[in-house]
Amino acid sequence: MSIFLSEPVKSKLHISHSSITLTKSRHEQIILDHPFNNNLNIFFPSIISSEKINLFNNDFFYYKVDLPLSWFIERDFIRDYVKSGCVVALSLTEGIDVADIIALDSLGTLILNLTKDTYEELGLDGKPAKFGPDKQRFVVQIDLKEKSLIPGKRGYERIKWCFNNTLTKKFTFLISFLKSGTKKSSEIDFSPFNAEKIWGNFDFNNICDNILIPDLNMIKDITNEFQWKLDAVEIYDWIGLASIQARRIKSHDQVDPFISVYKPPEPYSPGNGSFIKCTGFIPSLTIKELFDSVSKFLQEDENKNIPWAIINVWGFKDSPISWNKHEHGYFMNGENNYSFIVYNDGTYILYQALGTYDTYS
Amino acid sequence: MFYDLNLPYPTQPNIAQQQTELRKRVDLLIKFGYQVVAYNHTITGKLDKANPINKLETYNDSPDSPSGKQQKIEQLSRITVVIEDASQNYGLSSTNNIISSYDIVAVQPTNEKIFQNACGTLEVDIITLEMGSRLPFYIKHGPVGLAIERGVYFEICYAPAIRDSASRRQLISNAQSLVRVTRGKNIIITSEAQKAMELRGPYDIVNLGTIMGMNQAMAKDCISTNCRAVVMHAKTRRNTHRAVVSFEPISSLKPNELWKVGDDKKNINVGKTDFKGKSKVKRIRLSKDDEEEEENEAEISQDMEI
Amino acid sequence: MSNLYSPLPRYIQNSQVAKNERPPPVSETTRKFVPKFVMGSIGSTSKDPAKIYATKIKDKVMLLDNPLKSSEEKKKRIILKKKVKTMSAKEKRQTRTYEIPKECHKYELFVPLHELWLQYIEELHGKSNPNIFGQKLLKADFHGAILTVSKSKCASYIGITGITIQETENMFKLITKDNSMKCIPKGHSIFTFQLRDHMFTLYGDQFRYRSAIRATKKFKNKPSIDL
Repeated sequence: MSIFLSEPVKSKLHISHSSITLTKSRHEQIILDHPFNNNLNIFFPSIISSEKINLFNNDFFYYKVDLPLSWFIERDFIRDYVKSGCVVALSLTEGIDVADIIALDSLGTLILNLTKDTYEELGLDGKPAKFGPDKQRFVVQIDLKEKSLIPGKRGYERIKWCFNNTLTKKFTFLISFLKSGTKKSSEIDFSPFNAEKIWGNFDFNNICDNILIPDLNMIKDITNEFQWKLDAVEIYDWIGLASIQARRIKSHDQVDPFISVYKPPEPYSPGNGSFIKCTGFIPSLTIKELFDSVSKFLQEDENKNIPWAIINVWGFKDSPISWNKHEHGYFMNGENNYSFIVYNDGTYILYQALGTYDTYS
Repeated sequence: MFYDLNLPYPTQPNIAQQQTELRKRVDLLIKFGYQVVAYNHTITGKLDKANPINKLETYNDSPDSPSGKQQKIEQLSRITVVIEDASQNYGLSSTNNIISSYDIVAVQPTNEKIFQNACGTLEVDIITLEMGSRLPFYIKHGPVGLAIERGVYFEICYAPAIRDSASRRQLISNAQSLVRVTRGKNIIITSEAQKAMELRGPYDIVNLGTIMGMNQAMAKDCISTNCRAVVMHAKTRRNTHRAVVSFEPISSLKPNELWKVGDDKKNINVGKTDFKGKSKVKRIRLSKDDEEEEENEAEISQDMEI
Repeated sequence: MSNLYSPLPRYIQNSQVAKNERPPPVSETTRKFVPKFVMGSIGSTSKDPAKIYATKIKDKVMLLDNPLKSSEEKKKRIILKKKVKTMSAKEKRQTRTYEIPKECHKYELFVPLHELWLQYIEELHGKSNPNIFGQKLLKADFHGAILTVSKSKCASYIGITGITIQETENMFKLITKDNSMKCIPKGHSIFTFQLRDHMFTLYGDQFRYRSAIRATKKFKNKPSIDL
């Protein structure tokens, strides 16, 4: 019937199994290499008292500000922020499949993911984007930490000319800055531009009672790899439902089977859970701190009655890169999310979900 | 950018109710993330009325203002001429004042002969067919190939499929045959929605496209890159001489476009510029005295920068 | 038949040429040498050499060599002509006829050319409105114009401004204010320049003809100005 209905390109889900006690463990890298985090939640399969939960309080802030691109290549900015800490910025426009996206990643690379029209008038050399229709998008990368990027040199002056003449448009940016050596957000001086400072607040009062919680210990060790994969994917489904606090996982849920026949993966047992939630422009270092405190909390818990916890992180869908500078795009969705299941002995299972347009694998 | 190049313009735009209905539709398009809309005016018979389309206010305000989800949408005007008689001359050329007052020109052929004519010779951007009902002729490879070569695009309107189920069946079958003949090239998908109810978001349309026999990437092109090509084609037809030369008054340029005429105040090469030569040149170039003064001022400021 | 051709004038009819009586113009030495030579060489084979000479050779025009075939003749003639008139592309390259020597890459040197061009284009512009002028521009000469690359597929060309010093089929050669010559392909680029109070845009893709050919050529419509 359909002539061009070729197999659609699939989204990807990577599942890995490891332990934080291993020296080769990649968990820190996975967290730190993922610069643009939009949403975070942590799930505990029991209710945690308020004094304990405050252990996870880790405030941060970021800015929302309209900036021209020439601001990023000013020497003061490069010296005071890019070279002396970790600045992360992402422009807030329409989707990455329809508009220009500018981002500054944690390594100091300014990434311009541009439409054909903008690129052809910009004047900086770039590469065609890996995704989307042929040569309709282009990616320009500028390494702000490069030594030759100083006024007077040809490369710098060219960039400056372009940002002063051809791409003068202001973009709305989210920016956060962590000074090296500290683990807290630091201030940025935006004068003469007006910046809005936004605090990222944690929401600790999310308790779901009477939910069906599967026994995650069944995927803690890999005995049969094939079976383990099936179980792990099923549990990922449940994690998704839990994170939106769906009514399908409530123990008293009685939905018409015409609408849903969902059952949590067996064996499950009724119980209570609590959530920590946070939305904003979350620095990866803050997430790493949280990860560490969660695993520490699980290990130091006297009664060992919290066997595991789940940390979910959603990346910005329109970010130009996912992990480790791998190019990212938006096709039917722009997922770049990851979830950790952390056990109290340090074992963890990592899920990385990626949309169709992503070079990370 | 996502485009909807067919939003029917109210036939009696003076009636307030129709105006608000139009505004509702445009608001919804903005909400869905469309960035370009074309109001369509359909004419059967003679081209004698002037362009009735007035672009809505407030959408084009402050085009440079940055913001997350901005409340702005580019508005174009489009005319669709229904051609029933091949022998009649409809005057579809850019020299016709009525035609050139529209941004985009589309034709709707009603029989095979006119269809061939439209594909092969007519100076139009879009060929549209009434896909909600049975087509009076088969779409053939030959003329379609010619149209693709000339950069003319074929339109599929999805709103009839939402309106009632009989036309849905027809539309899907017609669209499939169009996709087969064109091999998925040169197709745009537009709404033709008379009510806000009938509009759909871009990613829903992509899924609709898969029903018509395209894959998702192709369907996405149908509402983005292909539509861009249509607008480019229209611009070429309207604004250029033989696609070689176009012009616009300097006063219409935005400040960030002035570098194109060599007025690069922030140019790095300023230090090495030979001002003597330049000012001589300017004196000849500018006939008006006041303009020369302005230019000289600019030069002085350049001097100071150094 | 009688009406188709008018009869020759009387004086020609009576002349020797018309009656084919006049012998071909031959020099005195030939007149003496030929009969002797011919009769001597055929004397051994024929009985009456004098008669043969009188009937076959005397007062007749004869070709002593095989005539050239017409096509060969043409070829030879063309070769002769070419050698005299034009250089081959290879020779042009070797002798660097069209190259502009490096010491001449100076902006000031070409400012007078630009002034000349301004005069020329003003004259061309006259009082016509920009619409008609646009059509004239298709055929205009651009040596001396200040062009800016405003859009290009290749990023590094964007923003180059300079006086056009040479136009070839696929290139504009511009000299910039910092005295360097830039060769910019016309394809995949859009050029702009200012004239009076209008900005004119040239779409290079459709402009790829030599200027001499451009002046006489009819431009074909291209479907899109997209790069």
